[in-house]
Amino acid sequence: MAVGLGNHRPGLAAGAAVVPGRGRPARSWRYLLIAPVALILTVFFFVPLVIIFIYSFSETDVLSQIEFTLQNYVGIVNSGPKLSMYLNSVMYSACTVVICLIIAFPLAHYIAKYLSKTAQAFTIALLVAPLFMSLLIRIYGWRLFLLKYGLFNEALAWVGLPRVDGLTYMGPMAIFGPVYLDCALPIFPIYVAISNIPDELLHAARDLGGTGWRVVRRVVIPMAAPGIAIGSALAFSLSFGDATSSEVLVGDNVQLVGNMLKFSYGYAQDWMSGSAESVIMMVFLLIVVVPVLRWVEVERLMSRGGKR
Amino acid sequence: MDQPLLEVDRLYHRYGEEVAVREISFDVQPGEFIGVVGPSGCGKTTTLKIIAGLIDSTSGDIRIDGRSILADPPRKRPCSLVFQNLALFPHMTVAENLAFPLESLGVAKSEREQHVREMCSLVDLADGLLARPPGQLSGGQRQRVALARSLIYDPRLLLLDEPLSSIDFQLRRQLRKMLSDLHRRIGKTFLYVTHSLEEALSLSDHVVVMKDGEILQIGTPDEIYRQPVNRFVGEFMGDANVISVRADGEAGRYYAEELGNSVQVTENAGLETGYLLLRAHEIDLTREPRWPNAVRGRVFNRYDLGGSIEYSLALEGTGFHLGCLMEKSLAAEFSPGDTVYAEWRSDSGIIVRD
Repeated sequence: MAVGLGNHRPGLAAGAAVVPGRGRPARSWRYLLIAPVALILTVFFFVPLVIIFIYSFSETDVLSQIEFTLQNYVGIVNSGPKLSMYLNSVMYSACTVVICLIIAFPLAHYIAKYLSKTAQAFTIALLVAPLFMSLLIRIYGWRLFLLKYGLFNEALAWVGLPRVDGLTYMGPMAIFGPVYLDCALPIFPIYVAISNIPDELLHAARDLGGTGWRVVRRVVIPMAAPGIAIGSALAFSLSFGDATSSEVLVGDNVQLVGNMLKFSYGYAQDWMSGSAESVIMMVFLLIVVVPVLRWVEVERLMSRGGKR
Repeated sequence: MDQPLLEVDRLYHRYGEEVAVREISFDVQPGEFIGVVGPSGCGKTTTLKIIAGLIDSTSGDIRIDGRSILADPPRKRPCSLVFQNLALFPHMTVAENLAFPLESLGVAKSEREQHVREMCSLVDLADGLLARPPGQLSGGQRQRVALARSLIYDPRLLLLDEPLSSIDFQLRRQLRKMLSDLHRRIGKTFLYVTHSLEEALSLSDHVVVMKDGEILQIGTPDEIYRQPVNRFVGEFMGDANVISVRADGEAGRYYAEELGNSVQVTENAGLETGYLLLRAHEIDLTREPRWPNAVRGRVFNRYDLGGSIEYSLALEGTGFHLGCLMEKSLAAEFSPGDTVYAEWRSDSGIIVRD
């Protein structure tokens, strides 16, 4: 279903706007069709990325007076606090991924194999719905809920239990926020992967003596591995770049990459360091995510019958 | 009779409003090869899956060795199912597929490997294939892997759900023989579901013919073929001429409008109206009739089947097409347009009810 760019058609004039037999637009039209997307991506994503990349090797933030330096990177490597912020982010994101998978996998499994088609569509819609709401609103909701005189503590007081102060500034909240925001996302690729496992395989595994857990461990998890990998990559990269939820829920009590970037670009107005910090973050994410996406053939995951 | 291995007792199943299986009962003796045959939607696969425990029946009972197994989960039932699409695990090697049931039983690893090798030699599967994923195997090899995987943990009863349906004709005959030989060698009880009566007859000790969720007939292959209980069972093999008839007054004589003639039939169960079943190979084509049952027609077409020729004969007067199968070596050959007699003995055709 992807646009067949590698589809060479000898004998078909390159510029001719002929629609060939199989209903696929001729080559010239294909390029025209992707032009708007390509334009938007170039102007709003690619060009800014290039600018950030240039800044990260520059002494000044005046684009016309760029002078090459490695100082921005050397500064990060020599800074203990900055390195520990990267380390914090890696650890917190890893925890987030694990917790997200613990929530997402059973849910996706249940939706894909135990619900009727209608119930599946309904549940998926329910999971998507909150994503339309602003991330800020959802996170502030939690903050208000968990404040000293918020709903949670009022409820505790109402049943006669002591209030818990400082819930919103506890370290683990730096995991809670991303888990809450991102745990729905891995559900989708895992759901697709599990849906594609033919029922006969699960029946066969049960018939051949498999207990529920063994069927999950030996058949469902290995066969859904591509979905799990993509879901993990999603959750990891989103929580790694998170700045909002940690600021709203934990303030400055936990220092993450997001805080560092905000400080460099904001308070310090040091765009060169900020750019170098961003480039390191992006390179790290690419190193983590690209092998995952290469290993999983996304197209095969999305198409039914990709088992063979 | 001995204690049956499997008893299906008034089994009934409904999918929503649709009744799939209507109170069917049959017994299977230990070591038997039972073929359950019927057109698609007759409830045969549903029955099989209820026995395996993959579907819960609406009512009725399934007993193995006299004990009801309906409360047992599939893994506790002493039967194993070979699926129509084989359901080999694509992410495991052949060896891992074969070892899966043993692993579930907690068999030690060294012992598993030994069992796997034994099974491979039993179903004639080369050891070199063990390290490959099932996707790299041929259809016949995959078939053998699925069989071996189901037999490896020594189930009392092997259930087979049309395992040969996706295989091409030539290989299917070969695998059919392999299956029959395997059954003879290991003496296990096989319950084989198929939509091909020919397949069921060639493999089974007893055949159960199903239609619309009901059992029409249970019998040996010979009984099913020679004494079908009704028109459906008689027609199911696909080699019979079916001609509507009514009693002619005289004992054993019936008038067949489509033949434009009355015929003498020994086997008629005293029916007033019914159908004359005349197998194509029981009809003889000749220029000079010798037997009392003969009709005249023109050869409409001939189909060369290698060892035999099938003729389609358009009958004089009625235009009814009669199918006749002649061994090549035994008879004179005819060409389209020839006028010939089709004749058969009075003990050849039988009269069945609708």
